[in-house]
Amino acid sequence: MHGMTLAGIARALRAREFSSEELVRHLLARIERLDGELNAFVTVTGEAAVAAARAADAARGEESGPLAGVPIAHKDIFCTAGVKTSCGSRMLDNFVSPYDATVVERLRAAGSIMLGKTNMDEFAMGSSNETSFYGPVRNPWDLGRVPGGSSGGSAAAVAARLAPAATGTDTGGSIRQPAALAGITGIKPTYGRVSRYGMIAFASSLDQAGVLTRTAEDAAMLLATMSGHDPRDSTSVDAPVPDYVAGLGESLQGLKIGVVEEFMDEGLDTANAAAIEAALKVLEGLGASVRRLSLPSIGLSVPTYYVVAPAECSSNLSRFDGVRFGYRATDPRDLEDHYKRSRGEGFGAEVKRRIMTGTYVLSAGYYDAYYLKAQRVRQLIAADFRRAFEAVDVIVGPTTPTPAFELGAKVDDPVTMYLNDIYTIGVNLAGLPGLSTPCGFVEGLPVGLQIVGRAFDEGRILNVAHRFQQETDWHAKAPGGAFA
Amino acid sequence: MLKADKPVNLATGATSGKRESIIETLYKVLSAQPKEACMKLSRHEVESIAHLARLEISADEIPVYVDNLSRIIDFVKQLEQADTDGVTPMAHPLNMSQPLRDDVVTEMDQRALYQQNAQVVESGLYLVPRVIE
Repeated sequence: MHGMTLAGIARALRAREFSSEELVRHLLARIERLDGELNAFVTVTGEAAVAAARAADAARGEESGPLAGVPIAHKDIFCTAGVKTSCGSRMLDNFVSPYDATVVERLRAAGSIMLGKTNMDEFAMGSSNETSFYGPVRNPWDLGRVPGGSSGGSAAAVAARLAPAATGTDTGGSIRQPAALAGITGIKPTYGRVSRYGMIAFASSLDQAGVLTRTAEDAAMLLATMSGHDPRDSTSVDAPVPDYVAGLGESLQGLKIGVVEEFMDEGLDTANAAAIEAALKVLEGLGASVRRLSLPSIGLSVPTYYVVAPAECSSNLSRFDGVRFGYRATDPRDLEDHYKRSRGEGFGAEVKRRIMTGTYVLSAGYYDAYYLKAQRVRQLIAADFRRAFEAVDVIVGPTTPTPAFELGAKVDDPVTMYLNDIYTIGVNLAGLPGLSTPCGFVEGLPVGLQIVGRAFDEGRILNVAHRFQQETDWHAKAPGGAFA
Repeated sequence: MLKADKPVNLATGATSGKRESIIETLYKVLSAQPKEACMKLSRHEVESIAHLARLEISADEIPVYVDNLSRIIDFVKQLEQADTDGVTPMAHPLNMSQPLRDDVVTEMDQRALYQQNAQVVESGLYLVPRVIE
């Protein structure tokens, strides 16, 4: 059962080949047996999941929706009523959310069942899942390597067949990069497509919720449920949500693909590049045409991001004051000591580094030189993409420069770690949708293909990935041993 | 790992040529040590940033922050080279404006529920260390 896709599970449940309770119990046993090694889950909500599965089985009928009784996991950045919501931080280790995030609420209303909350880089700040207060997550393809981050727990859980799908968030690559490193599918929708209500904020002009799944079809199913306007998030866009599943399978004949030459240069690992090249051939075989194009300002996307994201993070994380919720230091001398120690002890090293960077770039005398300058460069990057999308329908290239790296390899060097997101960050800066699908292996480690679309063109990138997955079987490969 | 052995040929035939790769450029910036005189943040600057951010930083952590922040700031200084004359700073990734809603009450009183997450409350109030003697 654990090897099935979400779509396969939905069909099997409808046909009563097995019950939701059997499936949930099977996955919980798998988590119990295998997650000690992976550390993909912060919290497992076993009892509630079994109870919900029983209820779903009892209520099953003609009118049951496609997600009825289907188990999924939620990244621990999404608020879940009555369940610990830690965001991977000591700061929120004691926080039990009083309400559900809109994403959680919508997926539950559609009948899905939460297995638990997945591990993540602290406050989603990281590309290796090593900054979590709960310890690193390991990559099921090689336990000595990182699963990527920040949605590393979600990626590892899906790749290791502990959950058929999981939610994630992506501020600079946090869905696509771990999806690539764990050999699964991950989509970050257009900024504003999915509500951010109840999703703990990191950098509000970049954060967007999405999903990590085994197939593009599964991603389409979940995204259709999660998307749409939410009056509780003023940046959520009031635009109709297409039927993503119905749009799958359309021909790619005449599709115009752009390949960004800056992404295919010497910075890309040679073996990774060969996999990307082979993937482009497959897409050409399906009737697409490939042309090279340039995004002249894209080289500035990482430095732009490391001004904008820390600036917004320092502002967002100022709410953690140790008074109303979260970690509280003991025996403070006075109010200032209370704030400083609650925050100093509650936050980990990377989060503090980013708060400090953000505070510096926003401080008097530096605001124009850093923050406003970065927001200007961001316009140039977005304009590059707009121009590109006048000539092509999608942009295809690598998701990451290399496959999964070893645990500890980059942990002492923050800026080198930041370069991992070099191909994904520009997409967030421009607010566009991006997807990663498996497209090969290098020395036994998965390689991801990134497909970027125009704003609100999720349907098209899902279809391109779906057609690619119908022609190839990279997405169907499972890690070896117990994780198969 | 990040550097490829040889230039990559694309399916489309063209080569990436001798142009410096993005990662190469970024690495160059990274490997350059912060120029002692002009770029390195001072201990005092780091302490004042920590104060503004209300973060307690121990004495032995300060040199680490001096080094890390100096490198990050040096790294983002690359933005200076971009010509942004006449470019309006981005306020929204899709250049949309924020909608306004009617000024009506939409939340109900759930103080007791919310205060379950606070560690020190009394008579419905959040307690903090005494501010006025």
